[in-house]
Formats: sequence, C-alpha cells, structure tokens
Amino acid sequence: MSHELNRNGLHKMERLDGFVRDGAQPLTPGTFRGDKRRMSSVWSRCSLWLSLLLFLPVPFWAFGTGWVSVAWLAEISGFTAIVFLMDGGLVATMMAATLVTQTILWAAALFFASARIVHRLPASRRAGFIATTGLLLLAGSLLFPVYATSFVRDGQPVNLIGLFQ
Amino acid sequence: MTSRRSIWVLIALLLSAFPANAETIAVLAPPLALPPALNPDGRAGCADRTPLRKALFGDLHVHSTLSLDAATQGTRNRPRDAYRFARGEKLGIQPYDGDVPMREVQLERPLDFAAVTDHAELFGELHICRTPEAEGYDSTVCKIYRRWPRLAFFLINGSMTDGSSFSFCGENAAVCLEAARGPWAETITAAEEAYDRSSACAFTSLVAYEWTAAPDTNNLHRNIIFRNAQVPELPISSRDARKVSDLWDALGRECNREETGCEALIIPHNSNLSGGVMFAETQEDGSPFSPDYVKRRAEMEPLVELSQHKGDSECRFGVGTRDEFCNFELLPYGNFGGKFAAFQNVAPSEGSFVRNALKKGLALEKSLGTNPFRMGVISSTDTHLGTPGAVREDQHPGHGGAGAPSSVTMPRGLPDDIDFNPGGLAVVWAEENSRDSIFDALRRRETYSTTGPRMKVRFFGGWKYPEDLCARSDFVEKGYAGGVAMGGVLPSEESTAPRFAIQALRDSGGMETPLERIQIIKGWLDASGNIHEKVYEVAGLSAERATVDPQTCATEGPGADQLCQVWTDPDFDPQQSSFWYARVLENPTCRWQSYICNAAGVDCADPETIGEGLAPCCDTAFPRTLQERAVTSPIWFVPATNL
Repeated sequence: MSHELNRNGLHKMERLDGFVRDGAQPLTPGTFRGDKRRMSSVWSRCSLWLSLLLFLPVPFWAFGTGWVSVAWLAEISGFTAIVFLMDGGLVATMMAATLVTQTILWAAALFFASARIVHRLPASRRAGFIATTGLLLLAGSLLFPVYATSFVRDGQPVNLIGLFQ
Repeated sequence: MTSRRSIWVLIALLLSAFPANAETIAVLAPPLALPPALNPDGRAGCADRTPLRKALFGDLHVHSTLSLDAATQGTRNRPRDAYRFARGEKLGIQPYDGDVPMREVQLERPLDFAAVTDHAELFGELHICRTPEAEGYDSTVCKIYRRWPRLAFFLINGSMTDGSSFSFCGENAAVCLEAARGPWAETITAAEEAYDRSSACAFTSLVAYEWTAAPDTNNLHRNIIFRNAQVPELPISSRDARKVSDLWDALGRECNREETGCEALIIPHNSNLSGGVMFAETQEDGSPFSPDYVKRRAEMEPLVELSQHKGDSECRFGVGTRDEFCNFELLPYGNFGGKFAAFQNVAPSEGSFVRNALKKGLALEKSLGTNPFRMGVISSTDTHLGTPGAVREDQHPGHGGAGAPSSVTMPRGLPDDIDFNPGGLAVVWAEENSRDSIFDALRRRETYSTTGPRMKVRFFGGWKYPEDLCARSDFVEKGYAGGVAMGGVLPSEESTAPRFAIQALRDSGGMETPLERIQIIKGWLDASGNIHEKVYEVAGLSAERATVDPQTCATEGPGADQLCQVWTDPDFDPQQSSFWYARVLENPTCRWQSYICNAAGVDCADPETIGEGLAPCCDTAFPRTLQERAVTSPIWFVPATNL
C-alpha cells in the first residue's frame, strides 16, 4: 500500500476494504498514517458493528412483531434456513426467507451505520467512543429488559441473557 | 327345528326386501320402550337409566400436551389429566416453576362426558422431539421445538398445512407414523381408564381425535368421535386423507363397517374460520356436488360444533341474516391466516355460518335428493390446556391454542386474546350416561349447544300437541309420543301447521342467570327455490329487559327460572321444505374480560389505570357484556313431494 500526500500535504482518501471509504481525518504534513492506525480504523468499525449486532434491539416481524438483537435473529434464521434446506415446505421457505432477509438487511444497515459513525469520529476518539458505546450497550442489554419477542418467554420483555436462554 | 329356522330366514328376507330409512325409524320411534342395554364392551347397565332421556353435559373438543399447539405453549397435561379434570379433580396448568404448576383450576360441577381430541397429524413428530432415545430427536426441527416452541408452532404446523414432511420422519414419513402409535395408544388407554363402567355411570369418555386440514389457512378441521374403543390402528390424519371426502372414504374403509366393530362420526368446527369453504356448495376440487357426495356427507357428519373458544359459528349479522342476535362472539377475521397477517384475511361469507348452511341444505336436498347439511349442533371448549368444561366467564384461565400463550410466565393482564372466549358445552339427551347411549344421541342429533351455562332445553315438533302441554306433568312423554325431538324430521302431514313444544330451565347450579326469552328460528325454501329465514319471539320477552352494568357486573331486571311454550308456525306452507330450531337467551351478563378489567380497576377514561396487558379492556370492538345462550338442533320438515 502506498501512502501518498496530496498537494496540500494531506493524506489521500483511501479504500481500505474495497468498498468503504475511509473517513480518516487530515494528518499534519510529515506525519504518516501507519498500518497500526489503519488497522485500528477497520477494527473500530468492526468492533462497533459487532456491538450493534449483539446488543442493539432492532424491530423484526415474523408472525408477530418484536425487538431483538440481530445476533439472535441470525441464530433463529440459521436454524430455520437449515430446516428449509433439508426439508423444504412452503411455510419453512416463507419463514426462512422472512427471517434471513431481515437478518441480512439489519446486518447491512448496522454495518453502514458503523462505518458512518467511525467516519465522523476523529481517529483519536474512536477507541474511547467504541469502547464506551460497546460497554453501554452491553450494560443496557444486561440490566434492562429491552428485548421482546413472542418466541421467547411468551413475549415478555427480557434482557440479553433471557433472549439467548 | 329346521322349519323354525326356515321361518326366521323367510321373515328376515321379507324384512330386507323393504329397506327402511334408518333415520326415519330413529326419529319417529318414541323412546318410551327402552331397547335392551347394549353393552358390547362388557360394562354394567346404568342404575340411572330413563326412557325419557336426560340431559348430559360434556365437552367433545379437548386438547392435551399431545397436540403440538398445546405443547408449544407449555401445556403438560396429558389425556389422562384432562379426564381427571372433567371428573371434577383439581388440575395444575402452566406456567410451571420447575415441575410445580403455578395455576390450579377445578370444575365446580364435573362433566358427564368428554372426549380428548388431540391433533392426529403430528403425533409422531412431537413424540420423537420429546423422546431422547428416538431417532430424529437431534434433528434441527426438534432442536427448534425444544428451544423456541413458539417458532416451532408455526414451522411444524406449517409443514402439516402444506403437506410436506420432515426428513427425520424418513421415507413416506414411516418413522413418524410408527412413532404416532405411542400417543394414539395413550389416547385410547386414557379414555378406557376414565370410562366409568360401574352401574353408577358417573362419567363417559369417548375415544376421539382431530383431523386438521386448513388449505390456504381456511379451517376445515373436524373431530372424529368413536362409539367405543374399537378404532383404527392409527388415526386417519389430514396427511393420510388430504380432502374431507378422503377422510369419509378412509373411515368408511377402516371403521364404519359392521365387521370392524368400529363406528365413527365426524363433527366439523370453526366454520367461522373457514373462509366460506366449510359449507361451500361444491366439492373440494370445485366440482359441483354429486348425489353420492352429499349422501356421504350427511351420513358421516350429522353434527356441527356451533360455538367454542375461537368464536361462534351460528350466524353473523349482515352475512345472510339481519338477525340482531347474530352478533355473538364474532371474530374480526375470516380464516386462520387473518389472525396473524392481514393480507391473508378474507371477508366473512355465507359458507362460514351454520344457519346459512341449514338453509342451503334445503335447496340441495330438493335438487340432489339428500340434504348434506342436515346437522345437529353442539358446542365445546377447544381447550388447549387439557381443561374440558372450563367455561365460566368469571373464571376464564385462557384456553391457549392460537391465543396468548402463558408457557413460562404468569399471564399479565388478560389471560387470553380478547377475540377468544371460554367456549361452550355439548348437551345430549340420552337414556343413560354410557358410550352407546351418548353416541346414539349424537347420531340422531338429539343434542344442543350451550355457551357455558347448563340450561336444560327440550324441543319437540309434532302436529297435535295440546295447548296446555306446558302445564302437564307428562310434557316429555307427550313430546316424544306426539312427534319428534330436536334433530328429527317431522313426518309429513299436509292438513295442519306443525306445533312445537319447547321448555327451557335455567342453569340451577353455579351459573344461575335467569332466562330472558325463547326464540324459534325458521328457515324455508319457497316454490321459486329461494331460501328465507325468520326469527319468532316465542316466550319470555317482557317490556322491561334485564340489564348488566359492565363496570360492576351487577345485574338487575326481570327474568325467568323456566320458560315453556307450545307454538304453532303461523306461516307454515306444506309445500315448503323447512327447519326450525330454538334459541334460548339468558339475561345479559359480563363477558369474561370485564371481570378481569374491573378487578384490575381499569377505567378507560384514565390511561393511568390501564395496566400491562389490559389495553384490550378498552377495545370497543369487543363487547363488555353478552347473552349466554342455548341453541337446539333443528327439526326439519320435507314435503311429501320431495321425498
């Protein structure tokens, strides 16, 4: 990878993973953005994304509405998809399609949201922000019954542990 | 000796040369001379046996943990438990704290009879998913069942609906069919154990199951009730018999033949959720009715379940009727899909309601020679908690099924979906409380439906009942001797109008609401082939009506302990096919949610008082009060020219 400075002495915009534009802040002339910091950018994005996937309650619909984490949605989507692949059947197909589609849409939406957030953050504040956000989401999801789906505990609000139990 | 035998053979041949209409014999022969007790299963005769027949109250639609939709919402009660409950024992229901049930229910009055009617379709699958040693226990489907029962409810039920089979069931579902033997044997054994074969005849249990087809989520479900424990090796499910007519054929092959000792009848239910298909005027493939098809239907399906947990199917205001009392326990959707997804909903149509079918049947009889919809009526609960007969509005624990599950947590707010209700009871007029006597009553349609209270209703039709019959002590004897009871067909007599003798006694033990009125609903076919209906006020209605305060459930106003009337049809035309049935209405009382909402202090004008799960208390689409009712099986008249 090259690290060219543009005519203003600023770092050129780069594509890090093929499709997400790096929103790195301008560096002062003479400084280089090392591999460590670039990894940090990817890592930031992925960490935030993972936190959102695991903890953020998102709405979903499948024979009723609810608020669940995308990771939980991915889990039941996976099981349902296996039933569809092994056994077929109209209802299994419909359910697998409904659940998998929602999982993919939410995963993609949260990925872009993570990228956007990281893009807007000064590099120096990323680690702190992401750690704080992750911890807050984790604490909130453990301390409060923020999820509810008729598939778990009769639809009563539950926390993260209750959701995955 | 040889000559005596020859005489008997000759008599038999002569008799067989004049094939009698069995139905006509059944409905015309007064029961005053008791037939000898038929005890093919070796039971004692009942000490309490009366030729004038007595009202027996029961529940012919009960689910236990052997049904997927019950099991996936935490029901652990087995068929044996359901029968214990029906006989008056206490029963624990979900949710459970470990193995300890957190709720307990008990009937204040035991039932006389019951039938556990678990869904036959998934007997095997469910058994495998709950048996660690079974092949298939570790399949993905079973893992889903154990981890997310509610998801399994949709997924596995869906496979039943679309006819697919899971791979763990093996080729042609052989593994699951084999596994189904266990639950079916348990069903039979539980019924056999619960049946009181002593001369006390305290309780009758009938072997039964539910056939569960719902193409395009239009309900075609039917309960199969057997006369005794001589039953097919496996229940004939909608996987084996996809169409209703296939079910009739299969039961005809495997059961309803003299040499098998097996006899079954079929009771359709929830036509209100059938999207109009239950009483469509075509066969399942869309082809027109054939004489053979309607004849088989009439033979196999002498009854229909009128009212239950998932609403009432008698009639719906605006759908073939302007009867103001056809607004009872209506559902805001017309098929199963409509409950869960608005895009699947269908508007209510005439084919969804029993009264419309009774009317259509008159026209079909004229054109095809048989009335396929000559059906008597019963009601039941369709409980999915294993609690037959739990029908009290003020003690409704929810019945599960498609309603709100309380699998693992105590219900918060209402224990059931607001659109559902506690269901009703089946009542038969039988000589004694035995399988044969009850089955015969079902077969001849001498039955009626109640929405819970144990009202006693007699309904006779004849030509010459005396005006003072109600005042006479031999009301019942004269009723049988002078005509036919509910479910019967009036013999032709063209000179006069038919008379109907109807007597109703309010529930005298537990749900003692006074009676408001008796109505007779008549349907008829005119000379042009048009069908009509009319509601007659026959007895009881006074200028001042009783009322109920939905905020307190306190009632006040007049009402009757009993009503009786001999009524002559003023519009009778002997050229017109007709039917009449009686509807007995109680004074208004609170619907089930009112008791809970009032106890919780809900004031719909003050949002602060509407606690968790109590928002439906203020849903004005569902009335806070109702009028419990009994509806009898009809009495039919067929002009001599149609016979």
